[in-house]
Amino acid sequence: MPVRAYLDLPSKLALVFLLWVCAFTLSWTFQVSLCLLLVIARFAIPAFRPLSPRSATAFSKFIVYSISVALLVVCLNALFIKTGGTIATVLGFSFYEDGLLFGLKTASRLILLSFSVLMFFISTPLPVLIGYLQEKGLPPSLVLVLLLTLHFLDQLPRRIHQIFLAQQARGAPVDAGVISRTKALLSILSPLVLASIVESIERGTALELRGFLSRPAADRIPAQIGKQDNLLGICFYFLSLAILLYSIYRWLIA
Amino acid sequence: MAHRLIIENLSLQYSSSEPKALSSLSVDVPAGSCCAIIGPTGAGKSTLLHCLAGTMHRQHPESVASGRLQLGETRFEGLPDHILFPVAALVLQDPYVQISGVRDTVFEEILFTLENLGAAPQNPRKIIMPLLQRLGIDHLANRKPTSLSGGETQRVALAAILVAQPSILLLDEPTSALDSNAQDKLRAILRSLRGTTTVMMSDTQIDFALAIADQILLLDHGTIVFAGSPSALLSRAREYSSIIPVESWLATQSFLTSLQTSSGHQKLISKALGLQ
Amino acid sequence: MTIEFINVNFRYQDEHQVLSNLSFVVEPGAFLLVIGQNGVGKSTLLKLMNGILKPTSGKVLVGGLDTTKHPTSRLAAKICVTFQNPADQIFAPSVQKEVEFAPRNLKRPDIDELVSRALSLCSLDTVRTKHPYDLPSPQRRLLTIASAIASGAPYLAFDEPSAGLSQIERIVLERLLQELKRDGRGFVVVSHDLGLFLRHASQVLVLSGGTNIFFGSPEDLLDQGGSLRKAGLKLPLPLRLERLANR
Repeated sequence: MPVRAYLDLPSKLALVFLLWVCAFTLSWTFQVSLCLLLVIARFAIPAFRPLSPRSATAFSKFIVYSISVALLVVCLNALFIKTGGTIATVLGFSFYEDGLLFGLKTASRLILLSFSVLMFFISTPLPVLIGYLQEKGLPPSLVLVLLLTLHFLDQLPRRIHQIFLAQQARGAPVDAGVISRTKALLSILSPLVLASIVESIERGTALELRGFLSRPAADRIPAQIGKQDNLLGICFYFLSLAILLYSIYRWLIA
Repeated sequence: MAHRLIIENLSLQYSSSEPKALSSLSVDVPAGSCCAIIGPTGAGKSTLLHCLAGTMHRQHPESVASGRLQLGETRFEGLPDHILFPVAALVLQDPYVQISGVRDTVFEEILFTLENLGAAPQNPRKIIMPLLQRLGIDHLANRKPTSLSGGETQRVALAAILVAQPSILLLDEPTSALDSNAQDKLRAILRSLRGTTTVMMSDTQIDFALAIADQILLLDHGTIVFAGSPSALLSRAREYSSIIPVESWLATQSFLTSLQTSSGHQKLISKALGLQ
Repeated sequence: MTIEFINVNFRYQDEHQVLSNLSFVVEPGAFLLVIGQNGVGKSTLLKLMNGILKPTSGKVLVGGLDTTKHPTSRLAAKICVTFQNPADQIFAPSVQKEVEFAPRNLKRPDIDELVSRALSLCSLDTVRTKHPYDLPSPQRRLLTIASAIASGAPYLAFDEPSAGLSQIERIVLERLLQELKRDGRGFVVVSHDLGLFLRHASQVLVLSGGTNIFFGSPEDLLDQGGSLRKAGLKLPLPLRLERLANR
């Protein structure tokens, strides 16, 4: 695998920072466009391509899931924030303008925040990220915690699925519908987290037993940062700063 | 390079208020030989291996140890305060937790260890593929490490340690999920390590331990009840039937009788155990 | 009740692993031992039995119920399956609650009795209030077995039940198998541990290359010898010696 395909880690980090700044400052139309650009980038730009088919599916699933959540957020806000004019009335339910706008703002912000982070993680090899963070002086214990957390999040859906299977195998009607599924999920959540913590501790030991974190940062896989990437990263930071300053200025004169 | 392993008078408590988990253990494992630890659950087999790997300070920071360890030329008063990889490398009992989860294929999972060593070679395939082949898992090279069965995962975990060529290899219950074929492969690998790697392993499968070890330690409640050659243990098997019921060791009554009878039978056993 | 596999084929969506053209019948109260090399599809076979996986083609009938037409939770009353990794199936905050789970869901009238019996069979009665994660791993494995026993299902299916057990727990396991066999319970055991289970088995299924190359009594298996070799398996040492001595 050519390293170039995912090389620009610092600029990617800078881009995520820029997108987060945009999420908190720009209007919802901008944010929606940025989300669309991100989706296009995922297919068009090698550095943003998912590393494995699994992360590709995760990303696609997340898109579908987040759009449905966004629609729900928008509808609920438009229904319950009853100020501004009425835009439409469906089956006797009225949707209001202010609520709609607020809903759009919130939903697009949430999507942009999560899209950018997700994009970063699916397209960045964990070892490269870890190596970079260590180079930047992140304490080894924090690096390990980060790694174990990511692994935990990665494995959580599989664990839940497995335990559901085990419950069904012992006669629980988990497969009977949404309500029994939700009930089952709530009942296993705390033992699941506990089990995962126990496992994480052991996994941490196992990683160290394979020499992980045992070497000084200088020996690690270099994050392969070129000059042009540095420049790109700096541009992103400048842009973020500019947007921040501009929105502060607008907020002051408003 | 194999290291001689010396344990002198090692005692350990998980905390100062608890009884001793290990008490006054002394063992000398010559460089390049294989020592198997057997004994019931809770006898201290895993604990001893963790002490040697240097994980005790992490897993049980409250633990109190006394005695001395010597691995090759390096001596420790009490226990080491850091993980000794790759001088001493431990393969844990639970295979699933040893999959790092940061790699997508078995091949890369093994490569991960080499990268941690800071010594990723030019052509890692040349090192990794033959190792996978020796363990009989070369067909898994491109599979996802988290999608494998218990026995397969156990061998991947073993390969991920072996690739670092440790001087002292510590194995915690290496056969617990292996079928007989995989056990044979493991036995062949352990044989091939003779002379180049010192091996210390715990095993509940007595016949596996007997067939491969130069020296057997029988642990019970944290103390060494027996230390000696496999044949010496076999000849005294009855004495220890209260710790490990003999009928469960050797599973059949006729084997038991054959143990006590003619030297012809003894030879048969030694042959079957691969001691000759 | 019987378990019937009729021309069963199975293929995972994204993987190569396949069971092909598998047919056999497990008689009521039988002890079926399933053997074969790691990764040959033994665990898959168990998941087909309680409908967690559905055959790609062919039929699996459990007590007359077609697994494609009934949910796993319903099939659990007929056959209770445990998995290989205890961490994948222990979820309750105490040993007692874990063991109660199956009989409660299956609405058994004699829950207390089932639970106490299962706990005592597995020598877990002294730790019933403990958190499962405070138990050493061999006991956690026994806990998964106790949870299945307490279901009261006429068939119990275990995936590598002896993995990681020390001699003491192996004896516990053997004793409970003997006792439950006397009660007329049936077993399906997937294991590489021939030394432990061959003596208890009434039927043996040898899998190789995704299909059964032997199905019959343990005696026939030992007499033939060929199927074991073909499947890349060996008799454990004590059994080998016993046979040598008997010759």
